Amino acid sequence: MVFVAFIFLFLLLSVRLLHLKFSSSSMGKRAEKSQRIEEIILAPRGEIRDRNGEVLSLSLPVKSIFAETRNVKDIEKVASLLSSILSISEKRLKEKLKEEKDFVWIKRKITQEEYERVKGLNLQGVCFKDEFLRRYPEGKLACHILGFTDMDGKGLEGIELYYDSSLKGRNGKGKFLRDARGEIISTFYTSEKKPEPGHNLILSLDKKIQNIIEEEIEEGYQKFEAKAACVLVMDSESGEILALANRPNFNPNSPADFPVSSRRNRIITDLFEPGSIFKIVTAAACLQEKVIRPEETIFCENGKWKIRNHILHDHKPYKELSFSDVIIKSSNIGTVKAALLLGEEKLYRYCRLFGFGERTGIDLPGEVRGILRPVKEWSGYSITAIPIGQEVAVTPVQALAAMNVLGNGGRMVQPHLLKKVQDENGERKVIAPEISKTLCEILKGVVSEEGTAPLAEIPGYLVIGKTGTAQKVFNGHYSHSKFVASFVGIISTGKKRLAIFVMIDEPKLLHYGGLVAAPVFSKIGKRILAYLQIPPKRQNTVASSQ
Amino acid sequence: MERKKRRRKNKNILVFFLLIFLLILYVWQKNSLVSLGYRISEKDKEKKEMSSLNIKLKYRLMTVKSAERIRENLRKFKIELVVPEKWNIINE
Repeated sequence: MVFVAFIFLFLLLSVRLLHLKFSSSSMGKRAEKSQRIEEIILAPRGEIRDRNGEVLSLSLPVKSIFAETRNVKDIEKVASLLSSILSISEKRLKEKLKEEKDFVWIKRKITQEEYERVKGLNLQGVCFKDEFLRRYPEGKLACHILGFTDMDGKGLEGIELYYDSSLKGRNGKGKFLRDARGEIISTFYTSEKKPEPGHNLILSLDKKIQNIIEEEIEEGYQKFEAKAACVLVMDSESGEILALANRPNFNPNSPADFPVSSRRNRIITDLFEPGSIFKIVTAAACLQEKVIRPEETIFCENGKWKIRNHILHDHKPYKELSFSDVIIKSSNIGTVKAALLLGEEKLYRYCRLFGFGERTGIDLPGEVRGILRPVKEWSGYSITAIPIGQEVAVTPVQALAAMNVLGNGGRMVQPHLLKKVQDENGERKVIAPEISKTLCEILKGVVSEEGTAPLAEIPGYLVIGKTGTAQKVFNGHYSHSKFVASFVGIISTGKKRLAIFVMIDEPKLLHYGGLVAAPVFSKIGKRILAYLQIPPKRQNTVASSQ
Repeated sequence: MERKKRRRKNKNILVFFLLIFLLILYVWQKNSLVSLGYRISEKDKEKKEMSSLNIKLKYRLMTVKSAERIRENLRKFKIELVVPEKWNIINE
């Protein structure tokens, strides 16, 4: 009898168990539902590395605190305890905890110390969430290239913005079973979509060259008490950007602490009148169109020439100069006279061919086109202003890309930061290789004692370049106290050709490109060549030491 | 007849106990699975914390080695590099 009763009870229990298990409205189902959690697993953002694999940007796993407000029993106590640890006012915390939401952020991306202290309090309704914090171990180094991200890890500037879709990865999803205390029981997860981490980006940037230019630009910026300064170093053949720096700069670890103007990448966003640098385009066009030969002489009017109701000046009075000397000595009058032989249409065509008035296509966000008006919008005076770099506005990256045509046998390559294979569309022929060679021979003279930039010389190495000293426009007139001093040049060695652009905006004390920007170019060049272990040519070394 | 009846009864008891045994085995297995789950969760957490610490230490190392920090410290503590003596310079 007892046995039968036992069996009966056993069967009763079994039926109840089955009911709990399979009935849809049963308590068992509800309990299971509340214990099964679905969680989004964040994918870490990819790293940004330099060409040698050095990490420039990475994501650190951190904790964030949130509150499940309905589970917070004693708001006063919780607010008071958290306030002292998290440095948030008690009032603000109370407001957050009283919000009629299930989920309220208390503080995001807290420090390890804050996490351990809050965890130690074991507060009911106060929970933690895994997140990632974007960090830049090198601080301000290459800040304008790297950019920064927002609180949710979305790229806002620089490479972080341009390659956001590649860097961000894909979040995963996991379904877990947790017990009454909220602990996850790993053996009972039902399905999981694994997170796909973002791609790591390898840039063409070289951290060591970047360090060199950061030091030199800082020195130049301080020495000339300039408003701003830019330096750009590019591998002439491939168009790979090796280093890029601006002053003022900012720390991408705390971008909000710096003014917006410091975060601007002036190399691609700021326009300046290139001044004499633009004479390269005029000279290349004149030689390519055969309107003048390098040895042909031009009368330079003793430094003062009235043309089309304007007076054109040279920085020194010259009489007869060969066309080569016009470029070497940077004569405005000589250049304009050559341009008049060329004509407006052809000059404009070459300006476009050298990439002015269009974006270079560098892989950074916010690049501007520059200003180059079509011929129909030119005034009668434009043909005397544009050849010497007035009435046009260019970006530093455009100026460097144009100069680089000469270092590349007349081909223009697209400047870029991500190491990649250049497709055919990335290159275009601008001038014939022999014209490029002739112009290079002329521009060698610019860094000689006869030229405008002897201070750009690097003994033992072949350097070509062009200085620029542009007056800034204020209230529609050219200022006599505010200048942009620049130098763009190419250092050619057997192994490598480097194109370097230096610009110092509103330097004090001195203002000529040859005196302000050229020495910075030379110092940068010397240090980069030493780093790349490219020795000087013995003959030149001996010659220069004599 | 009596013997046959007893044998059937014994068989039922055996089946019953076998069922009980199987159920106990099932519960024990479920219980083991849960405790194993807890242990895995614990180890998972440990692994996560350790790899997180690893990344943080790597980041710390990179920050300490960064040229900018070194430059700043040189400036702050007014440390200047010593100019090498002439005999210390190797020159062609």
